[in-house]
Order: sequence, then C-alpha cells, then structure tokens
Amino acid sequence: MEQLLNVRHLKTYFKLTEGTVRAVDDISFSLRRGEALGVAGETGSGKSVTVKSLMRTLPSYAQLSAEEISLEGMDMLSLSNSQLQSILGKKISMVFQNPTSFINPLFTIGKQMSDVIRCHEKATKAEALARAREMLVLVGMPDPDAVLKQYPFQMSGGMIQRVMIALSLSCNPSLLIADEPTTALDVTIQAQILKLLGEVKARTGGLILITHNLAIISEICDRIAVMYAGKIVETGAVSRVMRAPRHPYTKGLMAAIPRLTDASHKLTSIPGNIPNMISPPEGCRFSPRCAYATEECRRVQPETIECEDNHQVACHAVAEGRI
Amino acid sequence: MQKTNTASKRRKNTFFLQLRRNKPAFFGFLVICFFFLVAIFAPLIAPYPQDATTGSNIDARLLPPSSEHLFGTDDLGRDVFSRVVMGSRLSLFVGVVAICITMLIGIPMGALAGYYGGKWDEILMRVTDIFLAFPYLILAMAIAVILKPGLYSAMVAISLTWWPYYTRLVRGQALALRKQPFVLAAKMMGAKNRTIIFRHVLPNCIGPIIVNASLDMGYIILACASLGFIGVGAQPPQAEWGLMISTGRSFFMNAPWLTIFPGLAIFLTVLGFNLLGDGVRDILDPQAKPR
Amino acid sequence: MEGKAEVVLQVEGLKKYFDKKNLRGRVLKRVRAVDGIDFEVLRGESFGLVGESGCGKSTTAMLLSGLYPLTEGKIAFNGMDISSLKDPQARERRKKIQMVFQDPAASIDPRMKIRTTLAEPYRIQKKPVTEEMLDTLLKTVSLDETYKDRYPHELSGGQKQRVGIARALAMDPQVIILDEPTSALDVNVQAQIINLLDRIKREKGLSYVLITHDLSVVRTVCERVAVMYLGKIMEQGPVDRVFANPVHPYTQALFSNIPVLDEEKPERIILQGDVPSPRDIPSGCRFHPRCPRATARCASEEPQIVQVGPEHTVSCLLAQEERHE
Repeated sequence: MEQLLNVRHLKTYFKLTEGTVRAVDDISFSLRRGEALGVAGETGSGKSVTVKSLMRTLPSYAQLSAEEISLEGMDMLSLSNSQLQSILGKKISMVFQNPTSFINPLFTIGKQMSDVIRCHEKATKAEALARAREMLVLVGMPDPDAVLKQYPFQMSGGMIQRVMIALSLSCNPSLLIADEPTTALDVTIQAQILKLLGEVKARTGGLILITHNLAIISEICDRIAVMYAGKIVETGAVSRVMRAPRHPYTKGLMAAIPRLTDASHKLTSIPGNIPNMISPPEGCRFSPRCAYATEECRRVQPETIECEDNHQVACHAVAEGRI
Repeated sequence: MQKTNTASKRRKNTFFLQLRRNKPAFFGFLVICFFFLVAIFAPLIAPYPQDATTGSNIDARLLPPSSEHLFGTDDLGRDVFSRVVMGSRLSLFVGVVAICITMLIGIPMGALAGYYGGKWDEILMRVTDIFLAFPYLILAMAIAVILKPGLYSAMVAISLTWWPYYTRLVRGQALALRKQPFVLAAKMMGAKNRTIIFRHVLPNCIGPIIVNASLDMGYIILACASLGFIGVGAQPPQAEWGLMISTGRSFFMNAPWLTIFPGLAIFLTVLGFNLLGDGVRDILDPQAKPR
Repeated sequence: MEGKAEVVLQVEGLKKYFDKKNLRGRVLKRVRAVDGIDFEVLRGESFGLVGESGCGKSTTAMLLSGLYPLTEGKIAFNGMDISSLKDPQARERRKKIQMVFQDPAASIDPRMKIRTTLAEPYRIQKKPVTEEMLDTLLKTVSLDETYKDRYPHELSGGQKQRVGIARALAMDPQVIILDEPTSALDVNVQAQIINLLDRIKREKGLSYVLITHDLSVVRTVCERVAVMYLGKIMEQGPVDRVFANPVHPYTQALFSNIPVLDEEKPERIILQGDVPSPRDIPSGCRFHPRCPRATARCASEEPQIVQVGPEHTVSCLLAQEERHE
C-alpha cells in the first residue's frame, strides 16, 4: 500500500528554566493510505505533543527536529509558515477533545462552516453553504438546515463534535487527526461519535486517533502505537497487539483496565510513576518499573525489533527471548 | 491546568528570584524600598527637618535649586527637598493605613457575601454598588465638612470608597471556593462555617488580595494627593505632596521647582507600586496575564 | 449476621428539585434533578450508581452527604433519620458518612501541608491527634510518612486522591461516597486506586456508594448497581445479574455502547439524540423518546417498578407487560 505519512526520528524538546523536557524523544512511524492508527499512552507520554509536532502548532519554546516528516511524499519540514497554514485544515484536519473551545460562539454553524470551506477552496457563499449542508448530512445530523442556522450554545457537546467532524471532512483531507474526540462525551454519545468516525474514516486518506482508552482504539483502528515517556514502545496491528501484547508496559496497561464482561478479571497495576521527563532513566525508559529489567535494560536503550509480522516492539527482554 | 493554585508554595520560595528576573517589577520594588527607607530615615536625610511643618525663612523665599537647597525653597522660604523627604512619611503612612482599613472592611464583607450567598450576598452587593457609585472626592468633601478637613478625614474618605473593590474581589474568590471539594469535605467533617472561612477560604484569597493591594497603594497615594490638592486632605503647613503642588502652582511660572519635585515624588511612588503590583500578579497568578 | 446483611443506608422516595422562583416565591422554572429514587446500601457492600451526565447521580451524592437539603423523601442511616440538615443529632450521625471527590487536585487545600490536611478531621472533632495517627492513616493508603511534610502540588493525581481517601478515613466512617473517584486518573493509577479502595473496604468493613459513568469500574468494584436516567432509577440489582442480563432498554443500550477490548464486539444499540434536559422531562417513561422499543403507551404512562429476578427490579412498561403475561 502507498505510504501516506512518514515520520522518522522525530524529537520534540521543551526548553524550560528547570531543564529540557524530552516530550517526544526519537520516534518513527508511518501511516499507509486508508489506514487508521491509534496512538495510546498515559498523561505525559507525549502522544499529544506528537501530533502537535506534525501540525507544528507547538509553543515557541519547543524545539523540533526530525529526519523526515512527509505527507503524500511532500516534505513537511521545509514548508514555510504560510504554506503550512494552507495545508492545515485542507490536507490535515483535526478533531479535538473540547470542540466548544474551537468554535466561535458569536456566529451560526452555517456561517462558520462555509467560512472554513471558502478559506480553502474557491466557492461562492451559496456553494460553500450547500457543501456544509452536505457534510452535515454525511455525519448524520438529523435536521441539517436547522443546524446551519443555529448558534453553538444551542447545541450539545455531542452535536458540536459532529459539526467539527463534518467540518474536518469538508475539504477531503488526506489526514484526519482526532485527539481524544470522545473523552468529554457521555457513553451513549461516545458510541454515536465512534460509529461515525468508523464510517467516515474511509473518506479521508488516513486517520490518527489519539486516546488513553485502548478499547476505543480496538474499536476503530487498524494499527496501534503505544507510547511511554516520549517513546513508542510497541506498535502493530490492533488485533495482534491487543490479543498478545509483548512489551511489559503494554501488558501492564492491559491488565489495569477494568473489564466489563469478565468479573473474574483482577486489576493489577504497574508499580511506580511515570518518569521525570527532564532526566528520564538512562537505557529503557520503562526499566525502573519493569519486572523483567536487567542491568542492560537500565543502561542501553532498546532497539525496535520486529517480533512477528506487522508487530514491532522496543524491549531487550523480548529481543533476547526472555519473554 | 491543575497547576494554577497548587504551586503556590514553590512560587513563594522562588518569589524573589522571579521578582529579580522580572525587570520592571524589580525596578518598582527598588523604588518602593527606596521610598520606604527615605520615610524611615527622613529626619536624618532632610537637611532642615523643621521646615516640614513650622519652619520658615522669609529671607530665603523662592530660591532656585542650589547646593544648599537641592530642590530650591518655597514661598515661605522652606527647603523643598526637606519637605519632599518628610512628605514621604505622610504619603506612605496614608497609603498603608488606608489600605489596611479598606481590607479590614472589605475582606470580611466579601467573605460573608461570597461564602453564605443568598440574602447576605444580595444585600452586601447592593451596598457595595452604592459605595462604588459615590465619587471619593465628593465623599471626602462631605466628610471634611462633617469632621474637619485633614489627613485623617482624607484617609476615612478613601477607605470608605475603596473597600467595595475588595469585597467584590473576595466575594468572587469565596464564591468559587465554597464549591471546591476541599471546602465540602471540611463541611462534611462538621467544621463550622467560621472555621472554614478562616482556614480555607481566606488563605486561598491571599494571592489576589496582595496583588490588588500593591496596585492600589499607588492609587491611594494618588487619591490622597488629589484630596490635598483640592484642599480637603492634608492642611498647611503639613508637608504633603499633593498639598505642596497645590500651594506651589500659583508660583509655577517663576518657581516651577515647587510643583515639579513633589510631582516627581508622587509619580515615582505610584509608578513603583504599579510595576511591583503587575509583577506580583504575573508571579502569583500567571493565568491573569494579558496576551 | 444471619441471612440478609444489615442495611446501613436507606433511601426512600428521595427527590431534589432546584427551583428558580420569582420574588413572590412562585416557581418559575423547576429542574427535577432527582425525581423519587429508592435504594438501600448494605453493610460492607459497594453500591454503584451509574448514569450519564444530568442523570442526577452527583446530586444524589450531595444529598446523601448532606451538602444539599432534600426536597422530599427520607434518608436513614443505621435505621435513624438523617434527612434534616438542621437537626443536630442528624448532623452528628452524618459525620460517619464521608466522601471522596472526583478532582484530586481540588479535593485538598493547596495551601496546606498534607499533615495539616490529615489532622483537620481530628481538629474539627476536637480530638487529640498524634504523629502516629497520621502515619497510620498514610500507611492505610500506602503512602509513607514523608508525605506529611509535602504540599499538594508536589504530589501526583493518584497520590492526592490517596490523601483524600485518608482524610475521609480519619473520620472513622461507615459509608464513603465515591464520586467518580478515578475518572480524572490514568488507567494504571485508576487500577491502583480501585485496588486500594477494595482493600480498605475489606479491612474496615466499610460500605461504598460509587457514583460513576464508567460501567467497567462498577463491574470491578460493586456488588449491586442502580442505573439512573433523568433523575430516576431505571434498573437496579446485583451486578452479576444486571450485567449478564440487562432488562431495561436503556441499560441494554448503555452496556452495548461501551468500547471493549475483547475481539468479539457486542452488537451496538446506538441511541438517537441526546439526553433531554432535566428541566424538561418527557412525559410517560422518561426514556421513551430515545428508546428503540418504545410503544405509544410509553409516551403517556409512567412505568412502575417491577421485579424481574431476585433483587432485580426495572422501571419499564415492556417488562411490566411481559410479567403480566
């Protein structure tokens, strides 16, 4: 399959007075056309910084370096700010956790949607409005004409998230990035939005879904990348990783999730806390919390190896066949 | 997001470090320190301390600045430098006392209104509305008529018009704090409302209060000077900066030093407090930063 | 304890209305946040109260903890009425009901050292407090005594939540209300807190009322569960039964909507639309506008609570009909 997005050796550091926070520390991943990638990790794992780095919406004290970031063969690193501006929203679009803060409360949905469409494509107001309506129908909005005339405060969080998804699809983006799109929503509304995302992902070139909820990834993604302390520790096909995780961190994370169907499932948790990202552990970042850690794990950073087809893991213990 | 209040202690430790780094605030801090030192040691600094009140020297009227009289002399032959130096005592005294009275009235009222809400809140807020609608100059004049014009009635007038700002500030904080889980937890443990206000509500209001007070010191000194200027504040022969400008303005054309130096003193103290206040706000409450 | 366990907390016909009144005291707008609910909490059990936002579960927590006065109904604790907020005896009894809050950062005073926060319950009760007592408290929640001299901002979310639990334990409670205790935490920390709560419950013979939107947490923690929708309990019963065999269409939809890790995904029942506002509760069965199985009767007739299994009740006309047949 054709490569859609390629990221090699991405590093994003934050320079603070206390020291340098290595929020994303040398990660590489790629996305094929038509694929949905789920990025999982706890708070502070660097998953949100990763996408902000892709879109280059980082604060001024951030330092970004990468060997390659390319979208559809186009080198994203060499783009000027204005070129980048024209790509964001058109080629890459985004859906956020708190959609209400990305929408202007003073204008109607129709006005805001058509403005965005007209910003990226030549269209008259009427054409843009018609396009907006079409998009609302696409996301299953019950009464699109009424919605176009509504103000954000007249709508619920779930509805606004639908509008945001409609908006993000309106320019047929190559890449759709969804950052915790359902975390703020109720279960029944979350189910609606997840169903919708599953349906619309075919309309985009590819989907990156960021979430702390592994179950959501297992619902709609093809591949998963598990991040820990700024590194990707395990990546592979969702079915493989979820069924048989190899990295001790992924295993620990899966064991910590309460199960709905299995009452006998006893929760276990990974001991300790996530490391300080200013001075992360030398060697494997997970080694201080890992039951399988050896002297080597604490000293040398593990290479990412292919442990089976379409399943990579960065762990000494797996590489040496100890687990 | 959750770092807003919680980091207050660490901030306290590095408070002066941060103040040092914030250049305008540190400048303000130095200016204020300077004026406080001047006020404390005024009798030692002033070459003719008796000129601040009774002294007069008809032979040396309206002399321009010279090595003998750094800021010149006024229409009664008093040394302006000595008067400005001695005047710093009055201005800072008024500022400190007025802000204390203001806080003494404003903070408890605000805590009551915000914490209890309901009728208390409704009544207190209407009272503050009335006081806020009252121009302090007019109130000061009224008080000056009732009591007698002077520094004390000026202070009373300023405090009476200033407390509602603190009531509103504290009310807003208390309103938010009373719904905080740690306050609810204290309630569930059976803590009395009074205890909760003193232990949880007021301590968590201190940051914004300090910020406001340091900003307001400047305004209060300015207000006091204005009252002196229109004649309902300090009375001659007191060496109050506003009053000095007022009496000096009739000689402005041939003796500008009578107004320039007290004016400069007012300007510097007010500027100092404002810069410091802004800096303190940036340090204690980084989210309130404009931009 | 012979046969049935002792009832610690009994709630009957509990209602809470928030009224917006005009100056003459006439009700202009009425929000029926909790609209007549009944349940019991037994000694040593965890009772789960689940529902989506606006279902009244948090209001119920506030009523149980005595932070809101109730509009109607009765709350009994160990068989004694604690409904009145003014009655000094009721207030005294209520101290044995404590609460753990959702937001760990806001649940302890940011200006106080952990030592002061933990000593506060004793201070308020005018009881002597020793260093050993504080150490024991911290040990119960698996923190060492060095935490006494720290400030909240030096602690992680999970550690703050532990301090919150320790503070509640200092009151020597019989019931702890857990209001979304883990929803602000990461999965791994959530597991730590859940295991901790479970251990404490067994050690101290406590009862929990767990308020949450997360059904998988209920599955792991609770023995019995009540599902709330717009101020009413739709279905109630032992967790095993309710999860294995949900009867109410809302419960069925809710369960099917939760993303699961399992490879076999359950068939999703996608509900249409949003939860209506409690300001404007639908007639008849309050779930009927979103119910995939609603009939004409559901729009006009309010369902009764019917028993569908041992200790398993639902409030649904369809279940009522089935039972009559």
